[in-house]
Amino acid sequence: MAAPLSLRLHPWASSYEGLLEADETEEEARGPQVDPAVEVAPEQWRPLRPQGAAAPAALLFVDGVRRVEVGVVGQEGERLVWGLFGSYAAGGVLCRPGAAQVVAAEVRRALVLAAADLDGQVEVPAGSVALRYRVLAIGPKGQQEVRQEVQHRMRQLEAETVAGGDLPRRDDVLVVVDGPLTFLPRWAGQEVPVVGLIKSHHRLYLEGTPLAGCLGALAPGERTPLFLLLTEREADRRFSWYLRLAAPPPFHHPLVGVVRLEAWAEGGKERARRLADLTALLLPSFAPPAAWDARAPANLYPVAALEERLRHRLGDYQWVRRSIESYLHRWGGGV
Amino acid sequence: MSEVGRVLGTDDARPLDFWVAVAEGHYLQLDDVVCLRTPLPDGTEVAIYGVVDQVRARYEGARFDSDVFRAAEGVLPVGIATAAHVAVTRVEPEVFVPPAPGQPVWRAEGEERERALYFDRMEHRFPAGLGRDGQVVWGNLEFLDGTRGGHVNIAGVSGVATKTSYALFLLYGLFHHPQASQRTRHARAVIFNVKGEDLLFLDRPNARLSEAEKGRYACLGLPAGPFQDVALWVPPARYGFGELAPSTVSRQEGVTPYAWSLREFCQRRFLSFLFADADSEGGQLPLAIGAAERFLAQASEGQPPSQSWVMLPGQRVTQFQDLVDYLQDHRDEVFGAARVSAGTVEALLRRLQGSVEAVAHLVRGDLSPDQEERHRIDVQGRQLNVIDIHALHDRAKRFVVGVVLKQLLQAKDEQGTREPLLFVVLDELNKYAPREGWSPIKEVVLDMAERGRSLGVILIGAQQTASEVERRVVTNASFRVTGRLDTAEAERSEYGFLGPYARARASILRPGSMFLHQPELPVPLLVQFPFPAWATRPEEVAEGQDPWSRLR
Repeated sequence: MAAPLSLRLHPWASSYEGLLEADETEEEARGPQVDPAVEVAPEQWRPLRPQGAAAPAALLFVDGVRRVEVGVVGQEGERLVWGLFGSYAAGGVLCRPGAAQVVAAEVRRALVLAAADLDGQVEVPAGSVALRYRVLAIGPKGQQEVRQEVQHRMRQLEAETVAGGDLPRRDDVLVVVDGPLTFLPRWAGQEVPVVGLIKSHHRLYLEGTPLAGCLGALAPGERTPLFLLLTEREADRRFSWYLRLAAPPPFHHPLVGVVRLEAWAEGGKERARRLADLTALLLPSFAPPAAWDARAPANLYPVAALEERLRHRLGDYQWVRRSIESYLHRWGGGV
Repeated sequence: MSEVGRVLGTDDARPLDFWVAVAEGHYLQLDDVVCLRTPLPDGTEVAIYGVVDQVRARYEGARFDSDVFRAAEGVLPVGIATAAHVAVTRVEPEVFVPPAPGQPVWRAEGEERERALYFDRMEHRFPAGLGRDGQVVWGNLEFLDGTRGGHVNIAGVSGVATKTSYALFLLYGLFHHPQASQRTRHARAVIFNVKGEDLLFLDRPNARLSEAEKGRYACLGLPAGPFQDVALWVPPARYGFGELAPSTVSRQEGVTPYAWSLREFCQRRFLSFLFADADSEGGQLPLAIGAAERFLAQASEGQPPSQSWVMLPGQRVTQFQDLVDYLQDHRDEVFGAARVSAGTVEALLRRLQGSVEAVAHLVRGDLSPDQEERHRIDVQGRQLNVIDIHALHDRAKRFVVGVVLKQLLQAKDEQGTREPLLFVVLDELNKYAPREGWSPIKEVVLDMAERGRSLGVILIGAQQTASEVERRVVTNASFRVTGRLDTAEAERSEYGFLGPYARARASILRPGSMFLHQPELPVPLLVQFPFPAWATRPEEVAEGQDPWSRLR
């Protein structure tokens, strides 16, 4: 550990409940081109309804949550060191006919600092326990990168859930990861079929093309043909498709109930097509009605329940935040 | 002891009640006894004991009722949370702090169970039944025998036959348990047989007693057999010559007919017990009754015990009918001084005539001195005395109960010591000591309830509805027992000791299960008692035990 660093509160750094909204912005801002002609010729695009496929024995839904407990700032010589106390968690729900079960749920806590050569952990007393924040020094960087670090760590933890965990027969499980696959380290999806499910439409890949009409024509359980996301790096390429989970309520936008899914391109087109058919067959039955959840139907039952469970595991936000504040007050936040 | 869960912190824990989250792989059911220790800042530990009175289970992670279907389909992951509510029975030392959430909770076994239910403090105890865990629930004998309290009150709907059965079970335990019987060896008990000839076989083993039930007696530390020392008193047959014959049908041997002499009737002022029904109250009738009683007592004063008839001025009276006729013919002498109206006298005489048929065979002038001795109910001879009144006319029933109780109380009064104890089992208290009105029997019962403790007369009273019984009779009982109750009845304040949860359960109690409340324990305990080891019907008498069985 280098010279002691004294931390002070930086309250306005943590936004609403410390939630980070940095899901897809990074890549999609650059906007990859798409190739719509991988499954069907563009002229022949129409909604596809798969007729049946060998269903896997189980579905594993993987998701994570994260939050900024409190932002801090320290002084390293002349330079301001941005930092935050953050918590993140990831887990999985294994759904088999007749039983849905949370099979993994892991919580980690980190004190991310835009400084170099710091490690170890700080222990924040909170009631009957001590919250252990692992010090992550990411070098001299800005506030945005400090926040991104929590996001990266969470995706890493999700990947560990996909790769590790106590899954039954690996080849017979379809893994549905919440969010795009790009954030998932490549090794995570090598042994099991993995698809990414993207709920929000930050950017419509088919916008402005005649193919967008096909999107609006989707009925529940129907998907669009595959299209290929042409990323700069060959290894990042994925096959993607849109799927309608449920019909939108009359006063909602027609895209409500439509999600985008993706699978690694390196698995081959046939595998991607099989996964696309499986998702079209299986996922609509996991979509809750609008009254169940504010983000229904795209926020699937297992995912919503898992997020609730994980968020609960992070601890009470107000309580944790107050514990950190009194820790900083009492011990001056020496790291 | 095994750990079953922890104090949960999502519901308030209080010094007298708290919730326990039940650990996976364990369960707690109603009536389970639990204990825990909670630390104080100074390092000492407070032991908290309690009884489970409510258990609940619910989904965690479900938002809507219909989520149960999503969970069953394997779409929505949910957890099951089971929690048990504990009513605290005891805190040692008496520092009333709430148990700290997170403290492990144990199923109380062995010594801890004894402590939880105060059994360790009971110097003298008697078996009050078996708990749901199959272990003995003890009653504190000091609260029964008059040392610190006395009397038992049993409530419950009829037809389930649990009230009398439980009273008999209590007596059986008191007389036959090795520990309890040391203190009750010389005690006597009186029970009235009011239904069928059910209680006339208490001295015979029950042929239908299964091995499992015998095992329950063994658990209680009791022999599985009939009552050992029983006297059966039955009304004499109405018609007959010479010796009095029993009026009972199912049993003729081993029973003793009972009767009183006319002389005793007059000298001891039994007349008022012929007017023991509620509608005799009010008006001048009591005045007239008093006058008649006084006249008979004065007229018969000093007449020797060798005669069962009575010599009234100018006439030797040898039959009850003649006594009534005498009063009718000499109404001016009898009632003249009492200043009661002619109408009242008429009413009294009319009723008296009406009672001749009912009691003429019970109050007689044809007994020899030896017969009078033999047929007088004497409870000192045997431990348990069954007095059969089931076939008597209602007026005669009240007469017998009133006279017997009055005589017992008088005898104890004269005796002056509490020991040996006398247990009196009296069903239908609502009839004998109703909340409204006055009757001579009510006076005796009330006297028993209020002074019985110091006299050594212990009333084991029973009734369908405690709300219809004189309040002082019920509240004087240290032990309160309820079997199955009518839902509306259970809501009444008389059953406040049950608490809300036991009240709700009281309407579904099965025969053989009772709620028992005793002074030291703040919560009622569910007790079960075994099938009678004694015969309760002729059919139940074990073959071979009955010397006549082979002759039939």
